[in-house]
Amino acid sequence: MSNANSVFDMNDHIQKEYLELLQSIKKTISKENAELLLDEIQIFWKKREQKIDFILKWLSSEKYVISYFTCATVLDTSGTDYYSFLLTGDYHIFDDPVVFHLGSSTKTDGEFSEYLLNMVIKTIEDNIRILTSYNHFIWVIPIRFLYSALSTIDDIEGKVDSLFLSLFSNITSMDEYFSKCKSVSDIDTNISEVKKRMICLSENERKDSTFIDKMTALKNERTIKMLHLNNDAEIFYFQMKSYFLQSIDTLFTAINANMFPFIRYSPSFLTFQMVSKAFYSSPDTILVVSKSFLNFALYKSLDCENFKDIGMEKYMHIIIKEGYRSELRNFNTIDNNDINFAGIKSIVGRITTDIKDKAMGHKEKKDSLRDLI
Amino acid sequence: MTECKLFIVEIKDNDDHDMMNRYKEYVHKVMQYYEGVLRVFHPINKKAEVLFSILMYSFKRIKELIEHDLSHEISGRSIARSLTENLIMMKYLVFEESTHANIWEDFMSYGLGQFKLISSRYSESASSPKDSHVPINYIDAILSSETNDAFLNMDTRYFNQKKIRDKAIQVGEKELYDFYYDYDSQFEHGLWGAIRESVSVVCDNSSHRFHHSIDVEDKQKLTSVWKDCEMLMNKSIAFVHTMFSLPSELTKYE
Repeated sequence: MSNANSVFDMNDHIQKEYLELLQSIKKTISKENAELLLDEIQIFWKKREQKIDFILKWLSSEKYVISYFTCATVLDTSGTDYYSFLLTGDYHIFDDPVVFHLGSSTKTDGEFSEYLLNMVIKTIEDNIRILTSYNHFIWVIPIRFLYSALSTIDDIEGKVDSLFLSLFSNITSMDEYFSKCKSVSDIDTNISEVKKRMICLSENERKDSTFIDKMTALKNERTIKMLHLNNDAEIFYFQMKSYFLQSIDTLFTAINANMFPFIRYSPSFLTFQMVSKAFYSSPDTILVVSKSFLNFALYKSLDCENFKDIGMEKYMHIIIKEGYRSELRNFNTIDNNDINFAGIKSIVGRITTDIKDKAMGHKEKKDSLRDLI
Repeated sequence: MTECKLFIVEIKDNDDHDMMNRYKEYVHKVMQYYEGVLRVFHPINKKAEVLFSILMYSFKRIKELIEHDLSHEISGRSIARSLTENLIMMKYLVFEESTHANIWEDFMSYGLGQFKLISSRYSESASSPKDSHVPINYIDAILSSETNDAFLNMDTRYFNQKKIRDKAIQVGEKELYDFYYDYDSQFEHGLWGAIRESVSVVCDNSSHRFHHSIDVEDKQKLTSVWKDCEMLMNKSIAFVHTMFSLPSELTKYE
């Protein structure tokens, strides 16, 4: 008699149900019914909240063995970028952002709705691709929607404003900030030099970009233009507040869900790292930040194009069979509250070379991916 | 006359009590898992409800064994018998499932039907006992909460206790019946073999012509049922696991 009804079967069933829902939504979605359909997705997940909770709880008794890909609109499986995501952790979840578009739609005008609709469709298509072709090793679950801990944090607005004010050396209140700063040069004059270098406002910033360069690039972003904010000070505050809120949410969601985040987007990750330091007193925070830093370092350092010819199946066999995940699980990225850059560089370099070498001599294995996972 | 010299067979307590407590924690975790499976995924699945409930009944019995240190007592044999019977019954129900529609509901109804008979005796008799351990009001409440009126008229052949040997043979567990169940039944029914082993002791004083006496000071202990109970519980878990798969961390103990 074969075993059945395992937590994997239970999860597969939910993933299949979700695939069917997304496929039917994709056929009918329009600007007029998008809100209604997104609401249906929210209800779908709310109805299955207890089931997801149960499945994730019983996947493993160990802490932080699930890596989730978060703060992204799509995972994008068309290239090899996401290969590094699969290197750490025993299980992998794409934090489905579709439900979050529902919140955005309420504060936008007609033009943005068109833009939003395209974003929603793009995410739905990406989800369908994962659920169809990568469902044996990546699951689609709206982690932030189900596990967000933001509402449980006292005085979140106050905490965000404190983090924002900590960027300045001589401004101590929000009123003072808005009275002293209007233009980008006002902010540039008041912001601390160290923080200027640490802040990352958009993905393609160069290391030597000045703060003014960073703000100029930000102001040119479509989503910022659509907000019609009054001045540069409001833009900067809006952007940093979004990143701070996202970072605090990510940190506490990760701890609440017993997972560690994979953040690909540089501004989100760098802010996450900056914000997390304020919570280093908790061992869980250190563990989550340590694992997420390793994720980010692997993403930035691992040239996944090297593995393009290997193909996903073979790549997965190699990383699981050769024990890279086990090795990375025990790797400490944070040592005495400092990031172990040298260690990360060394392990990433070795793993890249190793995987390439193994791939050259790798023969097809009989085990299915499902057996390995 | 010289004093009696009772011949007490020395039974050493070789049970590893720490290990028994760890085992209890392990099975508790298994049951927590199945409780979640039933509540979250199969709240109206009668098969899941019956199998998990029988398994839980076995766990409660083995928990009593551990917490009250009963493995060398008569009650321990009663517990071992209960575990054997539960395992055979689970296997039998699953074996019959394909040919017996509604077997899970019928199994529940059979048990409730027995309760109904007891309840009737109490209500129809003017001399029913007061302050007995039979919670007749609670039994009546259980019965009235059930909507299935058919349980009084159902065919009881499937679950009749007398047929346990046939069931054991049918599900490939004849050895359990031959080597454990029959022996433990002696103790459950207070037959002379069990009484002789546990209560009746020989006087070792040669001048007393080896008469028997009774172990009034409770010196005569019995061999431990622990290993067998552990084996029976493991077999029960493994059986349910074939239908409701456990997470890998719970598939084996230590």
